[in-house]
This record gives sequence, C-alpha cells and structure tokens, in this order.
Amino acid sequence: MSTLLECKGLFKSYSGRPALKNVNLAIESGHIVGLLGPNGSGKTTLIKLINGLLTPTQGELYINQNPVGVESKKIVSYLPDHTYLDMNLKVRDIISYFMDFYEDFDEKKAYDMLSKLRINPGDKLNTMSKGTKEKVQLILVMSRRAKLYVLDEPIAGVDPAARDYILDIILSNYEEDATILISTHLIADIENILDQVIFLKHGEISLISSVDDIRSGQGKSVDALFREVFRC
Amino acid sequence: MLGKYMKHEFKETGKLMIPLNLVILVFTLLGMVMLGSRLLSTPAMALIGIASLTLYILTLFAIFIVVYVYFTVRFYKTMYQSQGYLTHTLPLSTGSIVNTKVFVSLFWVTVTVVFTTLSIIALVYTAMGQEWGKMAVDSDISFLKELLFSFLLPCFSLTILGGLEQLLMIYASLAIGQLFRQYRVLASIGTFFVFYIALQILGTLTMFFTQFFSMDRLFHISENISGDSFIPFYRQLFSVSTIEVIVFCIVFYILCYWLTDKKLNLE
Repeated sequence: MSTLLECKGLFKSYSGRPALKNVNLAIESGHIVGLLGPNGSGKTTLIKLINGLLTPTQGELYINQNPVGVESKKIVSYLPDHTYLDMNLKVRDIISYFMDFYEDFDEKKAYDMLSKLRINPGDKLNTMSKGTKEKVQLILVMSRRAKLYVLDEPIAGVDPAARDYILDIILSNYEEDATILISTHLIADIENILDQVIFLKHGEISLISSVDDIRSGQGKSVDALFREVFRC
Repeated sequence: MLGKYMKHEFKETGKLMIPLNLVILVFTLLGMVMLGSRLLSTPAMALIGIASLTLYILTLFAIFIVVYVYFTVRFYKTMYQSQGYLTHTLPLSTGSIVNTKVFVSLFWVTVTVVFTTLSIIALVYTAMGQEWGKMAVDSDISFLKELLFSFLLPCFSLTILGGLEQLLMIYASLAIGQLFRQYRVLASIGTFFVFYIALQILGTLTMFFTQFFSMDRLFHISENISGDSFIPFYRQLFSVSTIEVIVFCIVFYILCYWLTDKKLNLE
C-alpha cells in the first residue's frame, strides 16, 4: 500500500485564530477513513486544504506524492457539504462538464445511477428538491474513477432511509484501490463501513486508529469512543 | 483543458451576451428605418424622434452597465462563492482560470463596444449620409488618414484597454474582498472605490509628472487643441494614457492572480 495523502506539520489559522494545529497524517490507498469530530473541530478546514480551496498557514500537504495542484485535482473527487453547482444548468449539461474536465469520469455509470434514482437528466437543478440535488452531486462525485474520494458530511441533513441509500451508492461505486475520506459527526450510521478513524479535536488530531483496534483493544464501538472523547 | 474551460465560459456567458448585442442590432435597424424613411421630418414626429434617441442612448448605457454587473457577479459567484468549490477543484491552474475569465469577459466587452460603435456610425450615416460623402470628398485625404490613424483608432484601442482595466480592477477588488471573513461584498465594493480614487489621483499626477499638463500647457490649452494641432495633442494624450492604463492592468492582474493562487479563502 502506498501513501496517498500526507500532511506534515499542517497549520491553518483564520485572522490569527487557529483552525488546525500541527496536523501530521498519512493515509494509504484502499481504505475507508472516517474524519470525525464535533462541529468546529477543523474537519472542513482540513478537507478544503486537501482540495486546494484554502492555503495552509504553515506545513505541507501531498496527494500521491504531489503537492496540492493540477495533478492532485485529477485524482481527487470531492463532495462539499453544500450545493456547488450552477443551479441554472440541466443535469446532462453538468455531466458533459464533468466529462470534459475529468478523464476518469464514467458517463455510463452516471446515467445508470440517475436512472435508478429516477432523476431526469433533462431537468434543471433549480427545479429539484434539496435531497435530489444532493443525490445528483453524489452521483457526479462517485461516477469518477478517482484515487481519493473526499466526502464532506455526505449524510448530514437526509433522513435515515436516504442515509443507507447514500452509503450504498458510495460503497458500490468506488474503486477498490481508492481511498474514501468521509467527514461526519453521524458516526453510528457509517461506523460499519469504516476501516480507519481520525478524531479531530480543537484543530488537533487526538486519535488515529483502525476500527478493529478500537473494537478489540478498547472493547468499544467507534460511536461509544467518540462520545467519550468529545463529551462536553 | 484550457480550451475546454474557455468553451464552457463562452457558452455560459453567451447566453446573456448574444441577446444583449442583438438588442443593439435591433435598435440600430429600427433607427435606420426611421431615419431613412424621413418619418421624422414633420415637427410632430420630431418629438417622437427625440424620445427614440433618448431611449436609444439610455439603452446603450443600460447594456454596458448590465455587461459589467454580469461579469462582476459571475466572477464573484464562480470564483469565491459556492460555485468556486467546483471551479477550484477542476484540474486547472489558477493562471488558466483567471486568464480564461479575463479573456472571455474582455471579448464580450469588445464585441459590445464594436456593436455600439458600428450602431452609432450606421445611424449617423443614415441621418446624414450624403453630407458625409461631400465632406469626405472636400477634405484633404491625408487629413482623413491622420484622423483615422492618430485619433479614431487610438481612441478605439484605448476604450478597449480601458474596458480591460475596469474588469481587472473589479476582479482584483473581489480577490481582496474574499480575504475577509465577513462582509465580503462590502469589502470588495470598498476596495473598488479605493482603487478608483487612487486611479484618478495617480492618473492626474502622471499627467503632471510627464509634463503633459504643465502649467504652461494648461495656460495655452485652448490654442493647443484648436485647428491643425489637435491631432498631435491627442496623439500625446493617447500615448501617456495608454502607458498608464497598461501599467494599472498589470498591477490589477498580478493582484487578482496572486491573491487567488496564494490566498484563496473560500467560505
């Protein structure tokens, strides 16, 4: 297994207020990793740094041995925690947009998923419900044969039945040798699919462990450990 | 990849810019029909003519305002707001993104300037075509050439360069505005006005330092711009202004590029 994501002494502060402090991290290919922490712990900041949407105050970040840039963006498929598409476009226009820019985009897979979810590719995004828009975004992200999928709160704001469906889409569409980094605070819902977890607390990593080690070593579920570590 | 991005930018911006320029075309054709048919020769119809002319001028102003507002909003939305999450995760360099945005917006500003210029020429020609022809025949050919190359063409290129300067000033203001955690739009507008005032002051100072507006010249300015000497006067004015605009364009471009590349701070 090769190191896919590496952070060395990563700091990020906003107007002098630290959001991430000395984050050192190495994630290998072929894992599903949970980036866990309460609101304001720095999850989204770390994800934005990985995607080049923020610049670090200090430290280095490499994806597949490349610094964040054109090369890293070719292999990272990112789902933000909000809608980021042009609402005036039709789904099929957005698919053609993704096909133009991402060589790893699988058009057939995208249309298959749309058809399974009964989403009309001819519909404009601004005519869709919030949930349907989120599904379209997830379909676009998971239709890429990326090496690293970065999903920021993919199941937040949807009902429990939809959560299972979303997780099913994620699990049945990612490449076997790819890594998925999922940020969430709804641990119980995703615990079963995780290989590894990273706990972020006040911008610092408080734990990196495999899920098996937590269960066998501490005799607890990840959810139980999370509640213990982040108890208010 | 750059070509694909440009294609998408043209496709999206064309949805508004093509109809806007068609409006200019339609207004021009209507004006030509009205002027050509001599409908406006009676006193009663002259009033309608004045109203139509006012509407035409206001429409042209409105179109230019819409063009600049549209490109400002589009740049802000696709670079520093939610759509920026898509723009900045495309496998493109910051240079490619900024250059494409600047090129495409400048292209449409140029098209609108060309359409507007041609529209005015067409209407003036329709109104006084024969007189124009007579004036051209009566005039010295070398003077007309001088007028074209030393006044009209530099005037046109300076208008386009000025358009680029305005666009880059707006984009640089937005790039600075996105650095703020709160009130980003307000910060961008504030920055724009600071730039605008600084530009006016620096522009005036440049004129003085280059001796263009020396006191002696100001004293004799009315003589300088009268008669045959008006072309050399404007030639010098265009040269100084062009250099100045190019320098500001470079400064605003570097600001916009550097801040987006090194200090990107999406909400």
